Amino acid sequence: MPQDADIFETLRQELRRGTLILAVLAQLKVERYGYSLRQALAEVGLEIDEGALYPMLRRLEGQGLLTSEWREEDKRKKRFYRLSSEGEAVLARLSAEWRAMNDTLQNLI
Amino acid sequence: MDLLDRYLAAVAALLPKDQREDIVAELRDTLLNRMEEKEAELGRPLTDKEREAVLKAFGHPIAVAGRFGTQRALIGPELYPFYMFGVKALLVVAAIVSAIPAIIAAVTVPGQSAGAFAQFLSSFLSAGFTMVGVATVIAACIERGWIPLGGLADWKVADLPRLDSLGPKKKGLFYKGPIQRRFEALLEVILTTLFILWWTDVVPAPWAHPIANRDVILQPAPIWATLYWPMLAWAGVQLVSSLVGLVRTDWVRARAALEAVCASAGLAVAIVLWRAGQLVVVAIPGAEGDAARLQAALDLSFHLTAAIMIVIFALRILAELWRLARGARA
Repeated sequence: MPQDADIFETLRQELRRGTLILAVLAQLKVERYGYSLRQALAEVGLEIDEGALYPMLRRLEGQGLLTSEWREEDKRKKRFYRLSSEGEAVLARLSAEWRAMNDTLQNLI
Repeated sequence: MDLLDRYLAAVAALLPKDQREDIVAELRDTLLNRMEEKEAELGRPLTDKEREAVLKAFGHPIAVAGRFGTQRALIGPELYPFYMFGVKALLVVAAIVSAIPAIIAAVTVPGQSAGAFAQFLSSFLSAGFTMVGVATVIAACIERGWIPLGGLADWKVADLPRLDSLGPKKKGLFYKGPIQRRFEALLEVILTTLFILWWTDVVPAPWAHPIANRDVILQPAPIWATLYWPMLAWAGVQLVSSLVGLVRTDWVRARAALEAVCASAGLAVAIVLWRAGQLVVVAIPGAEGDAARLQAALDLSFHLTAAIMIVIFALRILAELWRLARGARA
């Protein structure tokens, strides 16, 4: 039988999963590479495992929401990501959806 | 090759070829950043052990490479309930198919109950594992889109079987609910399939070897060879009828028509057997007189059995014709 703590952790991860995509898209209005993106998210209190972050970035790029470019910085090749025009439109729609959901939930909880 | 290269080579070996170089370059940069961050924290270069700890914390190469794969689950959550339903049904089929020969062995050979149980267990495990294995492979192929299956999305409420378990209970001596009808049809499908496999010698039948009890030898009479194809055709029609009953419980008239054909075939076979008189040939070496008396007694009992079968099949034809006429009201 799963313990209460396990159940809470599973539910917390489910709750976070969708919101992380929104956070990643929002952070990539400015160009960043993977590691700096993770740090930027951590600074605002959103820790994300790199194991989940990089596949997510690739998936979002595959969906046309991000563009990427390899460039050299600090003598190392880095892959920089940023929102595509399609990504900006999706982010705007998702943000509106998030605010509406948030307003609704505020009345419930 | 240092630890980082070794780690990245292990990840690279598990990545899709077209993305390998790209992903590895990005992972290299990320891991170097992690190590630099750690060095800045400690104020000195990392030891080999500390570098290894950074790599270990990043994850096993199989897990890291797996996260970049397009397919994560063997059978996804949408397909899983259908898969589990299929597995349970297959295990029931495996249990029934394994139980029938074991029961026959237990009944026909006295003192063989333990052997029959072992036979059941061995057959059930073998059939069960094979069926579940095949079902898993098929489900995994469906999950990956290798087997197109629009049925899961294109279903209609009107196509669902009429299971009246939530409605008021109908009463009547001959009334059978849809669940009961479907269960009977499933049992018929299993038994008929088993019979066909036995009859065509695909699976060794319990009657494949002459029954020899000390000096008495019983063998099938020649009439069975004459009836080989008619019996097979009869079983074939019965299988179609049972499948119709299993898949479409609401096709009452189609099922009744097929059952009427089956009962007519059964009546014809019963008449042939009744006229043949002899269904088994008895031989007792050195005691021909006893053999003749036993043969006469068996012939009489089979003759009576065939006569009873004729009556039963005739009544069955009438019952199916009545269902054919009444349709869904039957």
